[in-house]
Amino acid sequence: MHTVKQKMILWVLCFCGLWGCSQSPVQPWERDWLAKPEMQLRHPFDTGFDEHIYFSKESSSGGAGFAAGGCGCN
Amino acid sequence: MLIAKVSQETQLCAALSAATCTLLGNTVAAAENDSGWETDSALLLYVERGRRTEAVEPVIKTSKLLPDGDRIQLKFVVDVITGASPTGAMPSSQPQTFTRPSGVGSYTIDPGKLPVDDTFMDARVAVDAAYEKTINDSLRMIYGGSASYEYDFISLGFNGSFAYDLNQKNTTLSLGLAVEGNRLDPEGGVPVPLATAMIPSGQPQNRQGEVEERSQADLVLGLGQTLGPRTLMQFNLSYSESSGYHTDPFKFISIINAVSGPRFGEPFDNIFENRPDERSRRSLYWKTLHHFKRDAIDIGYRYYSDDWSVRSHTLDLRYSIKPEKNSRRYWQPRIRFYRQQAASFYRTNLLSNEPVPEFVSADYRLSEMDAVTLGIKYVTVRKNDKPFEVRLEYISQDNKPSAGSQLGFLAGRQIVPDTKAVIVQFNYIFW
Repeated sequence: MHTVKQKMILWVLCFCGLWGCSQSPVQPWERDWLAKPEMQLRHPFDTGFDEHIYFSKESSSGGAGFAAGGCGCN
Repeated sequence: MLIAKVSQETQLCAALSAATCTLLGNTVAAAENDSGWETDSALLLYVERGRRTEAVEPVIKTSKLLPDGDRIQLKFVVDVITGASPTGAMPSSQPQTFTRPSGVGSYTIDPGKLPVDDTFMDARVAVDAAYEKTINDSLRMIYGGSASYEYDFISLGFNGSFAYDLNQKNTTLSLGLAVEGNRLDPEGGVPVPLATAMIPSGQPQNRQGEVEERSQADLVLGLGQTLGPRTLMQFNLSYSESSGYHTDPFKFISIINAVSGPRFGEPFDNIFENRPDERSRRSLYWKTLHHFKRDAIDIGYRYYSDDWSVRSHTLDLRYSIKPEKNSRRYWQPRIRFYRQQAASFYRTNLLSNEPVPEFVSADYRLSEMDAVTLGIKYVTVRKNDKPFEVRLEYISQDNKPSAGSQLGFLAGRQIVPDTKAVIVQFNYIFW
């Protein structure tokens, strides 16, 4: 028995998968836009700093990567 | 021209690798095909308003491409934190004296002020290592380890992930697993849960041992997809399970006088908090980047839930503004919205005429909250193609008290701390 949320996730995944696969594959010589620094999915430093700060100040963690453990006692 | 494209493709592969293996706390840096070490550095300054937490965190990250195409990366972090930290206790019309966590010495809070422990100081040293191994043209594995040391906290973790490319490297499926062990040795010992914290300095405190432990395992499934020559998407599903000591040994909860009279609504005791020793977290994460002809947009969303009844929505938006298409410098404004539902055992305070629950915490981070981050980053790419970046951000966190917690003296007063913080960060790749 799937919940509404689980069904939504499945639909989003299916949609994204179908959309992505329905596009003509991007060829190596078309990837100059995707290789630009502002198109990085994970910034080498900012992402890690953000995860550390928000883990220490909010009750949620993870998502972009593994959920942080750590002390956070401040 | 061809060399430039090959280089760009290499960067994209590394970017996709980093994306799909965002699973790793570490990313293997996008890098060029040379055999030397490439070193990046960053410095974070974090300051909260009201003489609360201040942190300085330098990071050095170095990576090397090995002759067989594998890559090794090391990251070193030092973190120094000082300042005052809210204890969870309520204000009073009288001066309140609290014993320091060590059990020796005390601090006094003025009437009407929200209690904070102003002697908080900690230093952390952490090392992360990652090794990316290319199995074949479609499959990569990343192994990693991390160690973190504070004088009262030690953490050791290992992780591993697979990234599998298909659809001419336009789709990447990934699977990551991480385990972590923590050992806590809090100043003054481990408090007895729900026992009074109001024992004068120099007398035996309510402590039940020196050391506690906690372990955690994480699983992340990822889908990375190019949605055209200018659009990238990442989708992650995460599950995390932790077991052991989750209580914050430095946090109290006040028991307030619920009987009408001259001290109605004032605290008459402060007890140590107690949290469940298990926690299961789930999150759904989606991120899409699109490059326009000149600018670029980056949108991220996360839905988080756990078995402590915390639910949250996070929306993160960045927009890169370039003066012209091939400009080597750009501005990147950012706005982040965060909304959180309180943990089931969060209470701002307890009433004197009710039983003390088995699990209860007044830690403001477990409260209902709304937060906004506003920021701007300036990036300039130097002549050697290495960027220099400066980031300035302002965080505003609005925490809400639990229902029925503002009785008598506490009515109309701020009884849950709000957090206002400024971040200044420099990223510099120096060789």
